[in-house]
Parts: sequence; C-alpha cells; structure tokens
Amino acid sequence: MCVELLGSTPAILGINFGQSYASIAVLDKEGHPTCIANEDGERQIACAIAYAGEEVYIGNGAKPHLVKNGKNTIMGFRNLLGHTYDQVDHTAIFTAPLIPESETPAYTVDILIPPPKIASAPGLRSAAASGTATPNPAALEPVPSTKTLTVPEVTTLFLSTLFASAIDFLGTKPTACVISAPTWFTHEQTDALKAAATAAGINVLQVLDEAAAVLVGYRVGLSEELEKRDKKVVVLDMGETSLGVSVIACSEGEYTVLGKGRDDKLGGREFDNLLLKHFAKEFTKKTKVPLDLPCAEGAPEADKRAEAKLRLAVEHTKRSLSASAGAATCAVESLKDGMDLSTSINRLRFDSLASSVYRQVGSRLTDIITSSGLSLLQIDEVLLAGSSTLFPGLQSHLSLLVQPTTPVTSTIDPSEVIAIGCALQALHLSTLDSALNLDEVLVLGKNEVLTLAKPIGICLPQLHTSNGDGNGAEMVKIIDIGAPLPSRRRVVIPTSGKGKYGVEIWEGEDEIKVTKIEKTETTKEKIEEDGEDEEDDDEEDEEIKTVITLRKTLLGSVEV
Amino acid sequence: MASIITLPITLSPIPEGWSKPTPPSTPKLTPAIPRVVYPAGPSFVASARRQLLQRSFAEDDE
Ligand SMILES: Nc1ncnc2c1ncn2[C@@H]1O[C@H](COP(=O)(O)OP(=O)(O)OP(=O)(O)O)[C@@H](O)[C@H]1O
Ligand SMILES: [Mg+2]
Repeated sequence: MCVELLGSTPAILGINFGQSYASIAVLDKEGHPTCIANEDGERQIACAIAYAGEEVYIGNGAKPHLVKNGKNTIMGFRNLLGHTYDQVDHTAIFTAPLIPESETPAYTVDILIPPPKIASAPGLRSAAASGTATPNPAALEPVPSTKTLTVPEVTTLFLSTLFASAIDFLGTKPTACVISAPTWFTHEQTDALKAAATAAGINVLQVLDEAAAVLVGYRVGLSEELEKRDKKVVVLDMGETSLGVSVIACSEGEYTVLGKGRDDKLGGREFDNLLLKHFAKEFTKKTKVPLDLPCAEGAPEADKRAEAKLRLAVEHTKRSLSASAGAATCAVESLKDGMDLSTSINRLRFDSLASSVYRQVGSRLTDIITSSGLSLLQIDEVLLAGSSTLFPGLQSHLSLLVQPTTPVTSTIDPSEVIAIGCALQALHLSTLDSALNLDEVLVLGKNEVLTLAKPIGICLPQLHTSNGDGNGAEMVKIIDIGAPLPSRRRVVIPTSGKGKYGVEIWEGEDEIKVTKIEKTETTKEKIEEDGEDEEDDDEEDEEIKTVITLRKTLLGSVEV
Repeated sequence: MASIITLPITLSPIPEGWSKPTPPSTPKLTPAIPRVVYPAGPSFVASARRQLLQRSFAEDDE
C-alpha cells in the first residue's frame, strides 16, 4: 500500500456517514486525527440535498428547503442503500418521495435546465447568426425539467462533496479512506455503500462498523497509561433516528462483540418531538392559534409547514441546551397564521421534559447488557457516540445508572468520535507490514473467531486445594471472556521470602459479591447535602456490590 | 509487543504440606465460543499478521 505523504503525515480520510449527519476527519500536521469543517464552517454536515431551480444545495444549506420545497429535498437516504423499493418504508412526510417505478429506491426532483450559453466568441456568433439579430427570448429562459436519482447516485453525489471538502483542506487528494456504517448494516448494504463511495472517486479501504470506529478512536486497551488492558466496554450511540448499544470485550486491544442491540425509535428525534409539543402548546396559549405538534398524518398543510419550520429551529435550541445551562432560545417567524414564536427553555426544564427518554435509553442499555450475559456491574466503561448523547442530562442519568467507578466517557466529542476512529483506522490499514495484503487481512474479519468462554486466572497455593475441587476461593483474573484464541498474557508476580514457589491456573466465573455497610453519621450527612431525591433510602444501610472471580476448574499448576 | 502486567498479589514460598495439584487428565476448559471480532485497530492488525505470516507471538515480537 502506498500512501502519499503530507510532510510526514499521510493524506488519509475518515468519514462518518450518518443517516442525518456526516462528519469527516483527517490527520493534522502533527499526525493527530482531527475532525474538520467544510467550506461553510460545518463539522456536522447534514445528509441532505435540495434541488431548487437551477441550484443544488448539499449539506446544511439544503435543510431550510424542507419548508417550501420539501418534495425536491432528499434526506434519509443512507439507510435505503442496498435495499429495493419494496423493502423500505415509502412514507415521506416532508421530503422528496421515492418513486414507485424504480426497483432501486429513487427520487424524481424538479429542476431547471439553464438556457444554452450564448457563445461569446465572435467567431462562433458569426457562424450561428444569419443576420437575424433578434434573439428568441424564450430560449434564454431556463427550461423546467425533472431529474431522477437513485439512492446510490444520491449517496455518491453527497460523498463527493465530503471528499471535495477534505481535498480542499488537505490541499491534496486523500489516498486512503475508511467510511463508517451502522452496526446493523447487512453485507448488501455495506457493499452498496462501498460502491457508491468508490463511484465518488474515494479509495475506500474499509467500511467500518460505527462501534468499532469508536473503539479505535479511543484506542481502547492500547493507551500507554495504567488503563486496564482487558476490559468490558459499552459503546452507546444515540443519533437522530436510533439508539445503538454494543457490548464489547476488549482484550489487549482486540475488540470482541459480546452482544449488541438497537432501538430504531429512540433517537434525537424524540427530543425534537418533546420540544415541538412543548413550544406548540406555549404558542397556542400565547396566540390562541391552535397548533398541535407533531402533526398527525392528515393534518392541515399550515400545521405541517409550521412543524417543518419548528423542526429546523429546535435543532439550534438543542445545541444551545447541550452547550449551556442557561436559556436556550427558539424563534420562528410566522409559525402559523402570521404569528411568530419567540421563546426559550432552560436545561432544567428540558431535562424534566426529556427525563422519560433518558430513562428509556438507560433501560435499553441495561437490557442489552443483560442479554449479552453480563451485569451492569461488570461494565468497566461506557463510551458515548452520536450527537444526541451530548446532553449533559442524559450523560448524568447514565452515570448514575452504572457503578460510580465506571466512567461514562465523552472526552472525544461524540459527534466527532466516529470520523476520528475512521481516520485512525485508515492510518492503521494504510501502514500495514509490506508482507501483508490488505484484502487478506480484512477477510479475516469476516468470520467469527473462537474466543474464551470463561475467565482464566491464577490462585496462590492453598492447603485445602486438591485435584480441581476447590470451588469458592477467589482467583486473580488474567484473561477475560471474549479473548480471541490464541491469546497470550505476560504477568509478573511479586514474591516474598525464599523457597520454592507454586501457582495454580484455574478457570473461573464472575460472581457478584454484596457487602452491607452500615452508614456512619458522616456519610448520612453527605447524602443529605448531595441531593433530596435520595432521602428515602437514607435509613437503609448501603450495599456495595462488587464483581469477584471465583475459581471453578483447575487447569494446571506449576512449581518452580 | 504485549504488555507485562504486575499482579496485585504476592507469592510466598509454598506452604508446607502443599503438593502440586494435578488437574484431571482431560482438560475441562469450557469450550471456546465463536464470536465476531472487529477487524479494527492495531491489535487486530497484529493478530492478522501472526496468522497470515504464520508467526508465533514470540516471533512476532521481534
Ligand atoms: N450539540 C447537540 N446537542 C444535542 N443534540 C444534538 C447536538 N448536535 C446534534 N444533535 C442531534 O443529534 C442528532 C444527530 O446525531 P448523529 O449525527 O449522531 O446522527 P446520525 O448518525 O446521522 O443518525 P442515526 O445514528 O440515527 O442514523 C440529531 O437529532 C441532532 O439534532
Ligand atoms: Mg449514527
């Protein structure tokens, strides 16, 4: 693999291609992955294309067209990749509808074809004109027409603008790219995405699972610090339309999927709906103009238009809400019947509106961990991705749900981490050992791998131990479940005294140990300071739950 | 290169009366479970390298 160098930094590209927003990352001059803005200064680039007369708007500039020109505004196309018309939902409320004639999902939009340019070269003019100096005015008007684009074509067009932004930033064409796809994409969908990106002139090394991109972005298990090398990590991604939870065993930097799940009703859209409802009520109260949002299917046109306007506006409100605790404004001119909306909401109020959504996210998280065969207590870290996880209220709800020692991490901006992970992955794949072939390497990722079913660890010699019958004692875990086999661990065991040493190798099992501790006066006081909502368990003793590993089966022993 | 971890235990000389336990002749390791391992990150690349170039861990360290 040959990589073009920018100074010493390879010109590589990571693309996070979401259903609603995309972002791109490259390596900066120091070689650090960084998410870049496009020409319009946007880091979150709306996956939207609007045809308006002779103009085509791509990105955030396309979204306002939803209000008056919705049928020529194409959105929500990513998830349709690799599907046929019959396999997908055709209800488009505001956006360009899919046309039933095409098996590959496609849109037909209205366009204006610019009039043929009047040749300015004198030579040409004299050849064309036969003395009649009066130009036909109709010929100078743009001609109304239509254009049909399939979902793969739309995707290619959209990705080519991202590619152009990267070229613009780097000053050279990225030579290698990794692009993300949802965890639940099928092989057909992944292939369709790769083909569409290739058609945009992008050299796609890999279409990478979004959760994997997050793990690579954070370099889980690889940092030089005292991080645990074997840990169980959850990637929680809440975007616009869905929530994805992946439960991963990280084994010295290898990422084994222990389980995953998705809720395709739980996304940022839920927050939009809550705000819509809240602001519409407030609008009606102030103006006496009836407005019930979100609209039901057969709602009047005026209400649908109001909804489209308000949806655009709450996008900004949400961003202010996650950025600061103060009042976040929402203003829409002529929302309905010529009446304006100008209002605000603060974070406290929003968090109470949104608390049911927060709770749903938490319970999906718990369910998916449980169905992966684990307990919430066993999770070492939760990594956040997807821009809807930017709400501090959601983050603190999740922090309260997991163990106090389990971080809920957003140190890499959740709206950027997938693109950053893709850029790093492009770097890893483009700097392979020269003896390796990329395709052969990636093929290895296609099949399942044998992984450890139960943890393996060490026990110190104890007198009651004999012949594998020593259940109940604790062991020191050395390799955890999910480790791809073969695995190697190298450990140092400090010694004391002189003589012969022995160790036993056991297979074990995680168990949850509950320790009750009586509350002392000081901890009681502390809880009272901390918050009122904990008042009712004030009287009870605290229970501390910890995960321990008990030995179950003797595997071997050594004496030195 | 794999890291070396210092375990949070201290090994004392073998207590008197301990004899090296012998595990059952057929190893009773619970059968391994096939799972998806993401083809992502430097450790995956290292594992692919060991497989494709047929290197052991030790050979790959060099
Ligand atoms: N700063 C912010 N605070 C809160 N919400 C935000 C912020 N920025 C964007 N959002 C919301 O996050 C959602 C987009 O997130 P993201 O870009 O992760 O989604 P996606 O990957 O395109 O969609 P999906 O994962 O559902 O297919 C939108 O609902 C958007 O309104
Ligand atoms: Mg997403």
